[in-house]
Amino acid sequence: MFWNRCGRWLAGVVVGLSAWSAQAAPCLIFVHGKQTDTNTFTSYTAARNYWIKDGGDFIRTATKGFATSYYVVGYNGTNAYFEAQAAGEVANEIVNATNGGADGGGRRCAQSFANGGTFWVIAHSMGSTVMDFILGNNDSSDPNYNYNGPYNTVAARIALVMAVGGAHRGSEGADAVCGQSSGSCNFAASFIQSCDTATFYLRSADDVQVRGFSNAPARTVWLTGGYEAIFGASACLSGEDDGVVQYASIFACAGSANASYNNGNVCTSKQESSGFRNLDAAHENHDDERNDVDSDTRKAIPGGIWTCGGVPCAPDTTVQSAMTTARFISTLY
Amino acid sequence: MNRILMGLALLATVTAAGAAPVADLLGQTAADYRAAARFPDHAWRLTDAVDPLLEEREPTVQSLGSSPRLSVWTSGIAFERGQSVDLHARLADTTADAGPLSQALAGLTGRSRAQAVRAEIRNAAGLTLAELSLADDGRGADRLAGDGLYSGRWTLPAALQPPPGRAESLLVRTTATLADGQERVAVGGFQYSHPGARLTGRYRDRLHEGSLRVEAEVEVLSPGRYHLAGTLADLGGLPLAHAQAAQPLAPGRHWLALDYYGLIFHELSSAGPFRLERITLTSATAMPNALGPVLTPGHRTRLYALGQFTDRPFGRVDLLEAARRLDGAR
Repeated sequence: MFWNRCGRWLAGVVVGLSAWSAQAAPCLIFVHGKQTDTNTFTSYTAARNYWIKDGGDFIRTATKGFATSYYVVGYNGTNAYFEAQAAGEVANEIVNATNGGADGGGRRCAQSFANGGTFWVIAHSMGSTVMDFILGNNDSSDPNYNYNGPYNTVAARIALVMAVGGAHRGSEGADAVCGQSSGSCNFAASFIQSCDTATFYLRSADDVQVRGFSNAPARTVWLTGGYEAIFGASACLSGEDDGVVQYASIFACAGSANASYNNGNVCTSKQESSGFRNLDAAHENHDDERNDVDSDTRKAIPGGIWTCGGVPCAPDTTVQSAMTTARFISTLY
Repeated sequence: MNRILMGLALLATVTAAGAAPVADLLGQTAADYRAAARFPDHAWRLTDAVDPLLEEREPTVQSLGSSPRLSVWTSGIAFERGQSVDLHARLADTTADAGPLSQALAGLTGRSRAQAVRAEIRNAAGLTLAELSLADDGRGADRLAGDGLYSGRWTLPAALQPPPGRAESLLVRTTATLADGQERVAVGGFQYSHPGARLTGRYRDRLHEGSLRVEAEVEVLSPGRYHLAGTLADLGGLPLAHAQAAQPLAPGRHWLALDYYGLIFHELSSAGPFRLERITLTSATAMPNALGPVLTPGHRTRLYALGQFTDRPFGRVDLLEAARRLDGAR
């Protein structure tokens, strides 16, 4: 009897603390990457499943077993990053999330912006390109201010972005697909498949890059990504890569989008004068980054977030032997 | 509570090497916001001696494939009707593409020869607009015969010109055939731009509410939204500050203003004179924006007294509020 009462009391405390924690913690807003069809735009289940594979659930882990509130965005991942069903849809959904509205699955943030909530956007792959466009066009002096959605409201309400495997400078994988490259450069990656509109504008050519059509992001974009090769595909990419996106793009580097970087020398000079910061790198490929199945090595990178003995870890230091990106993000709040 | 949870999380993730994520990511982010809040969104100080107009408009090298790797580039990013775009390609055993084009070319090593190099220009719909051969014969776009750089030239035809104020992104697929018959493919691109307005070349400057206002005259041919961006440098050409403005404009002549916020000059301890080093006008009615040329107007500002500029931080409310909330969550 006594232990039953203790159990109920403890359970009550845990529930109470969890609720308190969910209120104090940021609400995590998930923005998926490139798609080969419109499913994530038309189906909440598809958008939610983007983050799940073989029982590994990025969102479950990043939210500490759903203790933290979250919202899943679904947009048309076959459109160019700047189009209404991409950037416009994402902007509108983020504003809905910050208003306390529900996502397609009925999930909503614990606190609205008006009630003091804070919001982190977790963006994967092309989702990061979309966020660059939104946050770089939030002011009336920007070239594409509120181009097709409330970009200014998004920028005013979110605290930061965690960009995972982001195609900030385009993707050499997109180059290969649009160039109908053959042999080892023939990308079978499920992320790309064809040179559709989204892929065309995710190339690494200068004239399609988001940095040419936007300014520095209005909120800090923290950068992390993978360096686990995809057989065949990675042989065609410059420097370290996750099999689809090369480091120069994942880490939003200035200069050439095809520059060769590794964990020891990845850039701290960014594509914009401010707004991008390095987190770390993981031994994950582009697929692993967005689910929770590959608990693997993490490495420190220049300007990154890991400390060793109270000082920044030397670049390329192994800082974790088994940690997914989802788990890593869960340790940051 | 949050700190307790974070501490427990950190404890669980620390490795034997003693590595841990920095505990104050939120504090760093908040500090960034407070620093940025000193200036308005339309003007900021350049602290890294890099001109963003130059950085974003200098063509870079696109490479793809295994060794010998094919790299391609164009002579610019945006071109207009009647202008010629030079297409370049090279095969190299090593990659030396760490920087912008000028640096990449300086570092070329291990060039390989090709049997043939050809380029195909396509639009976003996949339609082939032109096909041409690139040669290493020292003629036309090719500067030096036999140096391993293959070049070709395409003049943008009037028939393909986008409507006024619009642009079209064009893909260049370049194929090099190696001596053994193998092929290497690389993909680059450029923009066919049809700006709806142009800078007339007239500039003027004055004080405006504690800031340095530099105005540029614009001749609008097609109604639309226009974006002006300009970099201010010292008389030696060192980039110091960047400003931008955008607004819808009707056909006719207009003055667009770039307001360089006064605090920038206090931080520089200089009131000029400065030089308007580079400026560009973009037609921003639709995406992709129609990029205009980057001009070097050479306009020299008048001499002002530092005290005429405001030394007050701008205090961007949205950034300060974001910083306050981040501090509250720490």
